[in-house]
Amino acid sequence: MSHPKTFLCRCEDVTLEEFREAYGEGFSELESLKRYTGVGTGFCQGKGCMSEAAAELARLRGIEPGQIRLTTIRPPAEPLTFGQLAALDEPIFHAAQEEEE
Amino acid sequence: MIPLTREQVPATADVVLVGAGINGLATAYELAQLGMKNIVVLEKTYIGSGSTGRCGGGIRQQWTTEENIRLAQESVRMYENMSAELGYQVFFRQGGYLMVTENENDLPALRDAVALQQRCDVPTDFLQPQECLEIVPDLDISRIKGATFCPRDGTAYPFAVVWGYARACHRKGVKIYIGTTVTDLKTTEGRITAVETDRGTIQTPLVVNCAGPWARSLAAGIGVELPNRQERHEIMVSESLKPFLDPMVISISNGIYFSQSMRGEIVGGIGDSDEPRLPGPSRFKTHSGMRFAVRFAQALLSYYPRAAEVRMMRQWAGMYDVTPDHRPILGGVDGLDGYFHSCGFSGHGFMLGPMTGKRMARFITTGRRDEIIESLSLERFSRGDIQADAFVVG
Amino acid sequence: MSSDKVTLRFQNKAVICRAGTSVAAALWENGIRVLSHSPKYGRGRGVTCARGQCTACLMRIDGIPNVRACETAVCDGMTIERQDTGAFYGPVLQKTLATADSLFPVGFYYKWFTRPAALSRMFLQGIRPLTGVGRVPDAPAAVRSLPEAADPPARPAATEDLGSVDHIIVGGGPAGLEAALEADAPALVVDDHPSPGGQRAAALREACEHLGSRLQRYPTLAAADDRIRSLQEKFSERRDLRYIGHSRIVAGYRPNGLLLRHGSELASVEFAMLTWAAGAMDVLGLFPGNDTPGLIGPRALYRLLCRDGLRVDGKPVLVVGHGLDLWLSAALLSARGAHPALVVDGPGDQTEISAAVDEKWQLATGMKLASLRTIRADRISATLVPRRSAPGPINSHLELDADLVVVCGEGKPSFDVTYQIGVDYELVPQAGGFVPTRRTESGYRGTLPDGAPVAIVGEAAGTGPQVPSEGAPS
Repeated sequence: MSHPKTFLCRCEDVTLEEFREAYGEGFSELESLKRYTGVGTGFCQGKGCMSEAAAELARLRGIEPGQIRLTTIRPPAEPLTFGQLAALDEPIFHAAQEEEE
Repeated sequence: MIPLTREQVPATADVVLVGAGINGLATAYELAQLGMKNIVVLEKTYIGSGSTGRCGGGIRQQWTTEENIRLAQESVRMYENMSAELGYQVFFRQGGYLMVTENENDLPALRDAVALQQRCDVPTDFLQPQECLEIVPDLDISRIKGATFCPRDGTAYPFAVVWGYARACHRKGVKIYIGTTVTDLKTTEGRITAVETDRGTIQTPLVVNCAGPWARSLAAGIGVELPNRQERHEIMVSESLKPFLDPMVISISNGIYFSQSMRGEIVGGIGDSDEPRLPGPSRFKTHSGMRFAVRFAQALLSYYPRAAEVRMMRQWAGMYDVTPDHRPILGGVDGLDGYFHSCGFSGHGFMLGPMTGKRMARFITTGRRDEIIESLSLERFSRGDIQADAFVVG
Repeated sequence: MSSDKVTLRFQNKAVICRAGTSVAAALWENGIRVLSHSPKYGRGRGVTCARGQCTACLMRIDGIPNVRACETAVCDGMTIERQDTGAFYGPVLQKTLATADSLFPVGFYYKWFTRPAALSRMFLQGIRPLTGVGRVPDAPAAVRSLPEAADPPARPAATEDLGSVDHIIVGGGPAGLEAALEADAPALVVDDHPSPGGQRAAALREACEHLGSRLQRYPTLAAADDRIRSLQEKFSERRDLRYIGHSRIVAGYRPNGLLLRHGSELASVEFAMLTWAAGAMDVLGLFPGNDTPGLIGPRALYRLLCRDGLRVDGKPVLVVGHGLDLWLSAALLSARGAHPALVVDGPGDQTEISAAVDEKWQLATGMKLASLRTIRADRISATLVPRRSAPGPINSHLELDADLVVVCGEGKPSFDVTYQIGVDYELVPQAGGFVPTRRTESGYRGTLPDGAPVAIVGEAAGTGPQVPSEGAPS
């Protein structure tokens, strides 16, 4: 039934093997690996896999984990509906109505 | 295989391109296509890390100046064949651009633009609000007064484009160095002689400044004054859904643009006239703002209320490298041999890059006069030949 | 039908379940473990984090796509659908991918069907309808949200006068309460738990009551329970400390802005000082089959049992790991009538290990989880191997079947919001992942780029041995 795949990122379905393959293709830093493989770009916003991916990259490059730079992590920390966001108090933005004309 | 080296840079090169965004990579690729050897691309962070990787990926031909229309038209032709050309799927999808306005007073200009675009063989049509519903069925047309639609406009995935170029460059022997910062350009008697980096110095007779928002300070180091300003723009991506939106919808009234990517996400942004234009990259701040998230959501729902329960996944910011007339600066500088720039794309570098890369490469290798490059030279500002396009959005 | 039951429509069939639980728990009790299929390989996924932080339980609920089944309260007549959309490249290829390991290189969708241009265009046209997960919402509708949906206090006056606060403490577990008590000034504590104490509080109380006089043989549990109870008591005595439950910080914006979600409503909060005590996330580990439905962490277990009342009586549950969460999970499961099998994967915990033998819990030590696979809809088979190249026969591995597998270890510090507003982070694997740079044993204290003081304490500052774990006596 299920096969022996080891998932690094469950949201985007990235296996550990694929991550290593992508590294082998020349993607040697986390920002590009994230975009190429999809690691950390899923619905969980990278909560589930960024540190594992970074640790794996340190192993692949043979460097200290502390040398791996964390990728930028964008707000929001959980997906929010446009309805929720639009209800916040910020100046309503509409076309400059040019009523003076 | 993309060779992203982190080693010392080579001692010499025939040409050095600064910046591995679409402009640097497309130009490097075209130079290699023309037979040039020993090409080096230097990138201070990673491939596509500047404005290319932060853009919305739109490519449109709907402009109000003939020159912009022709440029974009050439680019669209290149994008149509890009996956095949590079052997890399760049996901260029021609869902069209639906350009709407909420202002009656814009309508004559829209009709004029359509006429001009049609004369240039761009298949744009003018649409009544009701006709927009045939293209975007759930659009709220209550405030829309008119629109134009060109079905051949489209979107591509920016990272796939730069990776595709990088791979193709690699096959042609171009060397790309990431994590390598250019610290200075060296000149002797009005000639470029070397590029200094934090990983060594490269002796080279030719430099192409493709550094986007950093182009201005790079040029300033050798006394070339660019009028470029840096402007922060924000953008966001939603959760991934089944296709429901074909074109890019863009409003010349409030500056919102949104489309649905091949991954199924809504990708969109909105211009903000409150953003300052900064003189230089030292202020390059690309953090995200709550103001953008709210304004985008409000503007999106005003045109597409059905998205109320769709979720925003991520928002980010990037820099536009803006010129006074919102047109790029191409070519060289009189009295400085071996220096070229391709910058100041003002938010349209992704759509124009493949085409300007091709023209720049031809110009650099042959020195042959190119009327587009000429009209977009830095000199135009001192000549006073400034021709702004009315359709600057986002 | 009695009022403690509700009827859901799952994939167009009626499913009867307990009222007051989550969709994920309700489906689980009805034998439905697969809530979604993964986007690329089409693998079945089940409830994993139970806290709205992962992707595994995204379903279409009442016409809204990508709703988290773990955070949505059941209600009568609710329509629930799996989003079994084919992947990017369609069901046929997806099926092949799910069962073949190395036929498809990473990033193949960039590499295939590129030439000639006409084929590339056909490829894009062909796959376009297959892209995306979930259909656009039918029509806007209100989604019911957990936690404790039964009594969500209508937006408390508390969130109305937010806007700007002097000191916000994010996280109402022991670290957050301690920070609040240490502060000699008014502070606001926000957490998604309805009352102060954090995610382990209720689980600890129930487990300790269940153990009764045997509790003294589990010193880690006793100490953690004492600590939380004492903090709760002191917190309730301080009039200048406010607590807002049902709330979560969902975004951070520079210089000092937070978005707080209370139920489904957002409020923006500006703070003068921030204490981040948001704890850690479950770590499930990297091993073959680590996406098997039924594999969860201890925090998910506490939420499923204590918040959703998930029924596990009579079920075999495998608990693997070490530390407080291992013993707490075992005791809680045993209080609920499950049959826990324990595998201790590290050294230490000697007192607890001998106590576990007395409890007659099935027990193995020095083993670790090597792989998981689903053998029936509701049964997982786990392969365990000696932790190190232990002496003895080579085939000394162990096969165990269970309904549920709980992996307990050091959690992963939560860092996204503090990172967004400008705290520097570095990767320290032995501290659980990304942790603030320049942290000390008591956590991290610093200032944001624009000058606001920020403190990061508790599990959020690191979960490894350098920082005392949540359960350690203070």
